[in-house]
Amino acid sequence: MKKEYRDALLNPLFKNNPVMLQVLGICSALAVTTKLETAITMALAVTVVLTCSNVAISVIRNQIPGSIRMIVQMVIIASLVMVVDQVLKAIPQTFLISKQLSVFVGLIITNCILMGRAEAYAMKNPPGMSFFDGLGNGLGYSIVLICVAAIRELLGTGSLLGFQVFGTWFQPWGIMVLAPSAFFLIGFFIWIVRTLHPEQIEHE
Amino acid sequence: MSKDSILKTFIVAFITCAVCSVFVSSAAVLLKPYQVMNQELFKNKNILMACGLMESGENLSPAEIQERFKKLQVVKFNFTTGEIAATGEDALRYDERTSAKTPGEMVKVDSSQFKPGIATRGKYGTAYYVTDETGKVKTVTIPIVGKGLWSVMYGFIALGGENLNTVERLSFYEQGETAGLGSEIENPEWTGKWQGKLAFNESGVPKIHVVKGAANPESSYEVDGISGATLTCNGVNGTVGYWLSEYQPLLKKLAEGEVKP
Repeated sequence: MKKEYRDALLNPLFKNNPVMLQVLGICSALAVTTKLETAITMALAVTVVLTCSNVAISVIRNQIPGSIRMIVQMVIIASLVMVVDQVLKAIPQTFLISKQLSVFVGLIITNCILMGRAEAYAMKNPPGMSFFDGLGNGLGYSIVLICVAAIRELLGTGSLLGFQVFGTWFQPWGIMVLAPSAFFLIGFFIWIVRTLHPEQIEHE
Repeated sequence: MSKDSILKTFIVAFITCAVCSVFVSSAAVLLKPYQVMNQELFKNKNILMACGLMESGENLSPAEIQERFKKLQVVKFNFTTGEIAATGEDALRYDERTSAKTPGEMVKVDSSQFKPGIATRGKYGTAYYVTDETGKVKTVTIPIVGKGLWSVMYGFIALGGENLNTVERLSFYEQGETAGLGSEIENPEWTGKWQGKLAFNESGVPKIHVVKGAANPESSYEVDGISGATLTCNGVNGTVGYWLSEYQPLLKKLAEGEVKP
């Protein structure tokens, strides 16, 4: 794989993670991470939509008039999200999960990562690069979401993906199933990443 | 043509909208049959769970669900005349959720006594029952629907025992109440508290209800309230009371063993 493709794919995973460095897409990270299975489904949905929207926008980037460029990006993203929502409802395995995710699949439209990547990257780069950038950012979002959900489900209910991990001795941490715990966890992740990459620390 | 000319702007806007709408609508049309199938399986699974024929954690294949579903008898009941309109396949085909919204079929809800918070219901109602070896009706499950604080709540209540007056199970399968407070109505720990309570008083009027705070342990009609969810519980009271009163004639019929249409 060419180095620039690899950088576009791997940089957003840790060095330039959309959630941890740019602090985007936080709302869904709080809402869908009480259980691992909803987080995985959400992560997959965002990654698919982000990759496709980046490619689609990049392909027509030289045709989009400046005055309506954000609306055009929005229409493409919204269409993809609606289709993903329909697909989730059509697959028996994800049907119940999509019921639990309820409005949050639809709310992918408002996830800042998507508009952010479309505006900042796909409008300026060719489709190949945009594909890897979309995939990389989607995976970066997924890593955070899945880590937060794994910790929350494990400590909040003592199980993972519905399988009981801890025995009956385990006293669930009530706070882990509530939204604030996701804030704490993401805060911890940001702390760890910025300790490892001090250049990410913002100077006043 | 310049990329930013007015004509170009209109053309791009039009083409984008056209392509996206074809994309979205074809996905919706193509996936529709699968979604309907999932929705139906989901409904049947909920009915099985409400009737106690399936545990909530059990993982059944679609075929197994249909197999167990055959153990259930279905009746379609006319609320106005108090007669059984159909049984078996015919009754199963009736969908009260669609009917409640279809002009000509829907009936205005009379909320003078109980307030389910919904404006209309279907003309008919379905009920599912299981019989014992002698053909006596053991358990009847009726669908309930009503408004809580924010959302319409869908569920079932199963009755059994003498004169079908004892609550065996209450379950909600679809609701959008406040997470952590009102949504506790789905929590088996709370719905379990309904088990063994009596539904109707001596004169056949629904009496079971959720109280604010702890229930009187002496009472066979009171259920513990959920703290922080008083308005949701009021909705549950209106909903359960309303549907019990509507279905009361059918329950009486079934308890007497009269199930022919």
